[in-house]
Amino acid sequence: MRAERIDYEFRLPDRDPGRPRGVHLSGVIRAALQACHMDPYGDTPDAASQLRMAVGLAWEDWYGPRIPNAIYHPGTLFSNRVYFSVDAIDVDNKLLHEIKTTTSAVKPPTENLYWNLQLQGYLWCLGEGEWTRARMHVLHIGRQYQLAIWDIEYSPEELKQTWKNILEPYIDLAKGE
Amino acid sequence: MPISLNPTTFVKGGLVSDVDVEITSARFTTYDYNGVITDPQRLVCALKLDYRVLGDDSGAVHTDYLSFGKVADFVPSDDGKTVESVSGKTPYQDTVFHLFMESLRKEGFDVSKLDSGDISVIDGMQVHIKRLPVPESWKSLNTGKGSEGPARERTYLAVTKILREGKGKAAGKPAAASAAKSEVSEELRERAYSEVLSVLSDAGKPMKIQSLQMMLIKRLNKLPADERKAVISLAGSPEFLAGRGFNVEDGMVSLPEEVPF
Repeated sequence: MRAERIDYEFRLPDRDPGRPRGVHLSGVIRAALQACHMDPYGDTPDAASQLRMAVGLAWEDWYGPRIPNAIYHPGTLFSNRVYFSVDAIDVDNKLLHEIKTTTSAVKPPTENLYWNLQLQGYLWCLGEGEWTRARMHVLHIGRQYQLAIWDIEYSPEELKQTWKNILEPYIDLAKGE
Repeated sequence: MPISLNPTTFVKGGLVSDVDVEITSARFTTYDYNGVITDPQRLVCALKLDYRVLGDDSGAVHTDYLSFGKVADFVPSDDGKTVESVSGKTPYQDTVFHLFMESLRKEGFDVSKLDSGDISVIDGMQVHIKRLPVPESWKSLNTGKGSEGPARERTYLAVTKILREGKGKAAGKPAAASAAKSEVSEELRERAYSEVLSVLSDAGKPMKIQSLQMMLIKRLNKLPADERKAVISLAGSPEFLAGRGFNVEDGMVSLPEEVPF
């Protein structure tokens, strides 16, 4: 018997090449966080981060189409001068779905600043106060696997304030794709 | 003065198609559809494309006029090599000029040569040309008023093969790596265009782009996911919408003032 580990370095493929050129909400959030020296991802994710991201994407592709009453990956949307790509939406009930995978412990997703800004940014862009609810599907892949699903609701006022005060000012500073 | 009756000086009637040709001159000009248009506001800026059929030694030169836009929006330069936008509008995709240039691009023409706006770069090119049916969505927009008898299928001039680049460069398709961002098929682009047209026609008023996309998400929920995603994404692209003639301003989109020609 012989077993030899093959030398292989996993690299995430480039982002979806069909993404429109321009400013995306993810870039706006990162520009806002970078201004506060709080960008959690950095420019070049290491090998382990890339693998975690790949697992997250694979889970999302399996799980997303199975969310009841939701349209998975509806396409790149445009509003308030930015492009954004939500994981899934239920248009009739004005409900946003986001799917996450994390190694961190179970805790309310709103305690994650990036996720919180992402949800609020998406909701504002989806309806400028008319969309206020999100369902967060978080797969925890720590020592014990868990799927935690959270319903989150914001007031139209806090969505507006987050957009106007925190995100919108960074649209022109965000890197276009 | 009487014109020559020497048969070798006569030009071919009808539309030249499915032949190898050399482009002898490509210049922009104003065009009145041979006297059909008399309202100056409706005159057209068009590419006057002169070409000769390879192997035909008669010296006959054929001409096609490829509409570019109204002269109220676009005017040719004095030498005809470039076009200027007088209204600030971006050129529309729904023109026979665009269809012709797209056919060149698909056959591997390096379109970055056109970034300077000088159309004379295609002078001297040898290509195979064919008349192809116009996109399906054009047919409902062009009713051919005034004609009698069965309608003739509307076609446009397309390049189906590049034999030789202008100025003697060998023809060839660009490397895949330099190709534009992932191509959405022309069929899906047409689908996106007709869906947007339909929603805006039903609405009868300008809409926010995001509202348009929401309506399309509901409307297209039976479409295969990849196709739906592509159509929704195109419908959210201000660049695509403006390129198709829709009015886009401050995140709002509305129907073109006139149907494309």
